[in-house]
Amino acid sequence: MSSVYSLQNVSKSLGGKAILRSLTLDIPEGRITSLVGPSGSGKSTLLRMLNRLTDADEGTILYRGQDVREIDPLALRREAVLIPQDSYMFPGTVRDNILYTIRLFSLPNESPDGYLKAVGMPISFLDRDAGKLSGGERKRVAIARSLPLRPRVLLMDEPTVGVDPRNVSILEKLVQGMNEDGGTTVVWVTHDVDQALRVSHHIANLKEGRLMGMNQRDDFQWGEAF
Amino acid sequence: MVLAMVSVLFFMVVALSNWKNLGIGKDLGQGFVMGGLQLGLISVLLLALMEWEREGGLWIAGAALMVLVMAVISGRRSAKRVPSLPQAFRITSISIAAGSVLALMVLLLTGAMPLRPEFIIPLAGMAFGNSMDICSVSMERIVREFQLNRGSIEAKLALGADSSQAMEEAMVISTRAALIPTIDRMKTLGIILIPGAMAGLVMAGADPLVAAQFQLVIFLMVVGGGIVTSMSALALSRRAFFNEQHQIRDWV
Repeated sequence: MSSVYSLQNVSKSLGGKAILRSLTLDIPEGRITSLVGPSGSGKSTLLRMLNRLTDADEGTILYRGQDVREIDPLALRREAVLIPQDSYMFPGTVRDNILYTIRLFSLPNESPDGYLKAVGMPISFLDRDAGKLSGGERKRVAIARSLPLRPRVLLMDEPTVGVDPRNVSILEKLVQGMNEDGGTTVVWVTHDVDQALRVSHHIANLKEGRLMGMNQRDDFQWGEAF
Repeated sequence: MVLAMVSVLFFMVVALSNWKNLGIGKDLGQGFVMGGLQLGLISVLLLALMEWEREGGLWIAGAALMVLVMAVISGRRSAKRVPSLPQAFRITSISIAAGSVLALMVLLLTGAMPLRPEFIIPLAGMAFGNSMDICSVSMERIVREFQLNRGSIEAKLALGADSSQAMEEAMVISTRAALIPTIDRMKTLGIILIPGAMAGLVMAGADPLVAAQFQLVIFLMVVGGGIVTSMSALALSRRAFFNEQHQIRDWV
């Protein structure tokens, strides 16, 4: 199985504190890989490196065999889209949020309707104030906002934190659908090991910036979890 | 005599401050003395330039030097309002100078401002002074926008927006915040406020209609120079907020 990302001895410090320590990890293409670990284990920092919102201090990250430092960061981010944990909504309506991406890249003949439907939300939501959506609705709009880019990789930072159980299930099924139907590679950061077992094909366990283990779901041992 | 009469107001403020423990008497005193000395100095320099002009000397070099000093001082004052911003002085001095000089050049080329020291120096002072205030508000606001809305800006970067696109909304908010007070003041001209230039011209015996026109020209100079200053400062500040990989810098 080919790797979409290959991390080799990646280290990163923030504010003088080591966040990632000589991490070596391969993320398979076309699969859902969860990064699990306690707070402070470096999961979010690692995710941000995968689309170059930040860079490693040491080590190499390859994207499809090419060093990410040799790739235009904007082009990389349009292929590997990060959905931040807080899913910040831009001012205006849901329609304005989806149109932001469409207008940013001058995508022709694109309508937000289809993207909203793709995340399982009714068209009537288009004119809702995005600032007044629930946590789960924001997450889905954040995903809808990325769809005009046709991302090959979705980098999801704790996508279901603060979301009610019904919307957790909807979000998990949505992302699994994108993976199964569209072949989108997903890197899913979570502290919920049960969720990782539900959603993922592979689970990478991080603790204090180090990789404790990388397993296929069926081989994951609870003893390896934090 | 006039100064003596105005001093009555000064002592009134000091007395009220002491009576109510406002604590502004000392600052007022310092401001009064410093302001008085600085006004005296600029008057002496202006007299010298005017004399130089009468003698057919290269007074324009002296005027250019004075304008350069205005640019440096206004740049430093504005930069002090955003101590956390790297290269603040470079950003503020260049943008204040750009907006002010451009506005003055428009006045000169359209004939609204004669090429005389008694016009250039006071108008340059107004242009630089107002651009300095507009620059300060723009810079303070953009720093605050990054502090409050960093997540939203980074969400745009995460979608593949470049740094200019990601900070566009913050730039619009900052420019509006800087210019709207000046534009609002324009709306009250003549109803609440008769600004200093018009008031001075009228008191010196100028036709009120001519004075009013001149005042409008000055306001447009301030707004025109101000918007160029604000937009230049915000554009120049982009590199302070983002690195070449379109990543938000660590200091933000």
